[in-house]
Amino acid sequence: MSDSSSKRGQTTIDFAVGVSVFLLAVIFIFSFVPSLFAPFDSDQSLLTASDRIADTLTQDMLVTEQDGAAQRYVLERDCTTTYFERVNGNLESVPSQCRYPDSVKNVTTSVGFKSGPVGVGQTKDVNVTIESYSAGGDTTIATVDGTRLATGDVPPTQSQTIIVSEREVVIEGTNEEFRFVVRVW
Amino acid sequence: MNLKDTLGQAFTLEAVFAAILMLSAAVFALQVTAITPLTSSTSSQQVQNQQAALADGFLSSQQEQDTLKDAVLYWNPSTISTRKGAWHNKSTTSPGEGYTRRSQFNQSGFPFGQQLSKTFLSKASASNVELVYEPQGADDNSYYLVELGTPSADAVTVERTIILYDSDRLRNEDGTVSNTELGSLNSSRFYAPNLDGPVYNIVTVRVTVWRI
Repeated sequence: MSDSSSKRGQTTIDFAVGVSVFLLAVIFIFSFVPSLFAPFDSDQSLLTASDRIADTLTQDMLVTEQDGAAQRYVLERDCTTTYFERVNGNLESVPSQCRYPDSVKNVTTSVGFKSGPVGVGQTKDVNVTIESYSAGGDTTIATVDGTRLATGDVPPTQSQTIIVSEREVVIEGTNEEFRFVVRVW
Repeated sequence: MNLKDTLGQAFTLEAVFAAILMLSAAVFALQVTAITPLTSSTSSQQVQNQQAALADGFLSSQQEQDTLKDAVLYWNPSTISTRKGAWHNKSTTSPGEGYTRRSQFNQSGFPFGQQLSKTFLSKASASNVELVYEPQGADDNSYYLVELGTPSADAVTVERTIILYDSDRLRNEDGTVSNTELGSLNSSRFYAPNLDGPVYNIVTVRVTVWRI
């Protein structure tokens, strides 16, 4: 009977309002729940790794010594060039004043510096460069004593999160300041 | 069976309240989104650590190249009795103690300023350089070398101490050593006073760096 439609407590407009409110709520939830997991998407250890690599190399491994104490951010010229040569596969002899760990000194084959001296492991890609400043402040990869001061994996050119740590160093004897850049991804 | 008695939802208002309840639950759930200390962001602690390390490296490098002392002595003593003097390239009529514009300290005779400009100003950071010395009497104990503004809340400060002797000479505008010895200067012609003994004064170079 057509009476039943007049006895319903819900008109068409009531139904429309109710369903639209319900749909709005559902769409809202479905679009914002993925952002709950956003902090856990990226690898949070990249930040620590890049910081530690930069600190280890510029404050301990490649620095000069004065009265037995390491001079932070003052890199020893021969040790720095030898380090980059050895890591890139050219096994030069290690000068006696260098503070390398034994994993770099005693090896006879070219060593991937990720697992040894820097201790990062194969799950991360690392790129280490020393860049010199131009007059305007732009930086390009530096070459000292014929050695190009860059090593490690090639940084990706597509969009990907790369964590960069930079330090300001001087290579003793060159009277020039450089920017020590470590990229980890 | 009366159809009306089996309706689970009597009023549209119930639907509205139910939707509000669901939305409140969703908003509450969003408040617990986890941001850890290691999450990359522009204001994380790592940025401050890096700025501090850059400033530390900058000061170490300047000290190694002996340009830190050159910077502290890059002073033009005044010939007028009412003024102390000013840094080279900074006119005595411009306000403030230190350099306020990049063009003033990015000069070829001032390698400290040139490197400061390359290391920090070219990389979207600003810096203040303050010289703190031992005062005599009720005078100020600090003088600015570079003053580019008020530091932000996340600024970091690194310092190095240098000793100035009476026998040290000032630097000319082009960076060469002048003939004026510190000991021979009238004490009111230099920003720091002359202490007794062969040591002129002990100056701490304080570099404050922040991101802009």
